[in-house]
Amino acid sequence: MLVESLPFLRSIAASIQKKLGEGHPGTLPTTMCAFALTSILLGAVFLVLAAFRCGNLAGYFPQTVMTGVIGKSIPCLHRLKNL
Amino acid sequence: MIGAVGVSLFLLGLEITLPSTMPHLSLSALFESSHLPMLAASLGSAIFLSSSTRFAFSPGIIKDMTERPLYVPVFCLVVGFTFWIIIAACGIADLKRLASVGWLFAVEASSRQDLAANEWNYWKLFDFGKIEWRALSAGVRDTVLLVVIGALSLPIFASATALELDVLDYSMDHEFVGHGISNLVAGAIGTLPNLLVC
Repeated sequence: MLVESLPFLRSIAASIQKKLGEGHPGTLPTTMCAFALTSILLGAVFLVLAAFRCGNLAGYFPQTVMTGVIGKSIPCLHRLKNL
Repeated sequence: MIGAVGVSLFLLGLEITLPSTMPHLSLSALFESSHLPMLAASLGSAIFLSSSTRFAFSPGIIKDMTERPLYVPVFCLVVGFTFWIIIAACGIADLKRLASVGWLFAVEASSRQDLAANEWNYWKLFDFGKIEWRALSAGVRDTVLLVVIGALSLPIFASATALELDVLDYSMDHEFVGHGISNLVAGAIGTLPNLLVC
């Protein structure tokens, strides 16, 4: 997951920097805060999914999709290396 | 497919141990005398972990230990603590020198200005007076995308892992609760979102 989430985290940081402008002292604290809030939001979403017993829905993903998802980490890794 | 992921993760792992002054992975760089201790430390612990979980003929008590679900996480923590104990025992106080040889990640000079002495203390970056709340909205689109993709990929990853490991009796709801707690804790201590890696 870390591999797939890195491009998103990067672009969160980039858009905050773009909004504040180069060298703004608030860029780093705001970005850190945005990352922490992302974690909290994701955790809350998982807990909500658990509260509504959405686990059964996972059975609807076909197996081909699952193997495909694992396979797509390779392009992700390569893109990350070339950043 | 999974084999290819393994190979590219392995290469990435080898490359990460190289200090940033030599960015390209090559056999000569990998086996250079100055890099050998680090190669031994990183590869050695990986080999130890993988062989200790796989040896069928190990004595009962060790087998009991390595089959516990917490074995791998505890092992990772122990590696980190061992590193710092050795650093303390050798009396090395200059972390910058460690970073320049590659034992620690180096912080880029451009972002170093705020960090000063304690580079490792990332909590110092949470300067709540300096946070520009209006700028947070700039990242909302990507935050939502990340959360949606994370929430969608957990069931896929979890069931794919279960399929791979032949675990038939797993509860997706338990996975959700576990990942919910771990992400809340991660957010509370100010780190990145996390998800099962398969």
